[in-house]
Amino acid sequence: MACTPELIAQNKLSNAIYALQNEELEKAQRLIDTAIVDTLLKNDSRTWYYRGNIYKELFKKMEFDNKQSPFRVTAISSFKKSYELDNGTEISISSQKNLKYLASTIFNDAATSFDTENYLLAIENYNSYKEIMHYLEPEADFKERDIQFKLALATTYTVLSSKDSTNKDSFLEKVKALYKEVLILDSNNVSANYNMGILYYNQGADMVNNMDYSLDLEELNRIQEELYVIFKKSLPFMKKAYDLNPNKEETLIGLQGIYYSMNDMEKSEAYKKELEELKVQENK
Amino acid sequence: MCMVNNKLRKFNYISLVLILICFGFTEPQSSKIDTNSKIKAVFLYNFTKYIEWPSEYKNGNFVVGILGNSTALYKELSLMSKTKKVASQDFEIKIYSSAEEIQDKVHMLYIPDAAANSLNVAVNKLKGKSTLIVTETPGMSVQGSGINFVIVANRQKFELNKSNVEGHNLKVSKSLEDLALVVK
Repeated sequence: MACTPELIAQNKLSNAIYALQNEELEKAQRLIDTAIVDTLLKNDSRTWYYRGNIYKELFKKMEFDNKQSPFRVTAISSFKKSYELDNGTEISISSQKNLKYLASTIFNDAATSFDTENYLLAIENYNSYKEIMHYLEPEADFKERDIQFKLALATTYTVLSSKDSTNKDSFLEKVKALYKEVLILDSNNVSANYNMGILYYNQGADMVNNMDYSLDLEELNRIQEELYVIFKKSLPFMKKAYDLNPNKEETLIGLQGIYYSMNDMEKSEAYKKELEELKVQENK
Repeated sequence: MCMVNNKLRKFNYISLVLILICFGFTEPQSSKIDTNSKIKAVFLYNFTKYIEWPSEYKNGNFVVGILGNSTALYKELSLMSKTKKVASQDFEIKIYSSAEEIQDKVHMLYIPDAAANSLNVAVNKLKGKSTLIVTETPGMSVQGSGINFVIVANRQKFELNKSNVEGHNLKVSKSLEDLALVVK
């Protein structure tokens, strides 16, 4: 058989696929990386598709726990290229499925990175997930996921604010901004309303907590004015959370505390009573 | 000779599904501080600066008594007693279940709303003693209380009945009068 350039190129790809099927992944990687620069193969969707598969398998076998896996990055870029070069054939459909799978692994890596050490990675991975999904489905609706993401990020910043007194205010501003973003997406989100209420309430409570007992009375009066404004800000959010779910104990505790701190004892007592009645109902 | 790799099996276009993990988030806890008790504690500490007790009350501990059950204020005043003094006097916070229980020198007696009906007994019991009686129930300042906490436009304020205070041989500074809602 005459050794034509087409045949040589075809062999490069076939050998890479053969190595992949035999799970000789490092060999498959070497061969596909040679194939991908071959002028006869570099515009063939199959070359990129198999490269995606080889790197995907490398990711699964060697870097599945690496939330910034370079193998995964290469697999994604290869499947994207394959998807772009192909027009609706089996390869194109499979590239899409593989991209969705890899996007899912990135999403899960984001979801499991929400702690005070790795949250920046979580943000990066969530954005990568969205970028891939948006690439595949430009009309995709991320509203629910965005809400969950923002709530999780707000939780992380809240934890950070309690650990880092120097940057506490800056973290709490971020928390506030995230809850506001959630409320723009869904004004009826119970958690965002409740948390926003708690955020303002705790801001006031912190101010009281940090007051020195020897604070002079004029200054105390000035602080009381400031406190009233802060507690009043928490009220509409907590009330909304209550309207959305009147049987949530935490909300009743919140309303009781806010009114108490605003020196509206009548309303505070009313919510206290409602909470007690709710507890009686729950114990029946 | 050029060999073609003909050992390839058909590559499976398997469908890949991965279950997405949910983002975890928790709701923050509301602060447990009793804001009103802290504000009252600041007021009470200030009263010790604006009111002068007679010399025989300037020895030993500075005793603040609470009549009846006011756990939050007791807790707050106990915290205050760890860091603050009245001149060289340490704070001592005591709880009395009734006015009859009061035997020793008490510099300040706080009568919470729940114990308001004990005011008359307390006033009689403390006659001739240099005790500042502090209450938090509307109308108490005309019934014998020296200082009565009131809520005005949702803010904590205090009424001062100067003659009731001075009746216990205590001197009130002009500055405190200026800050108070003066009753008499």
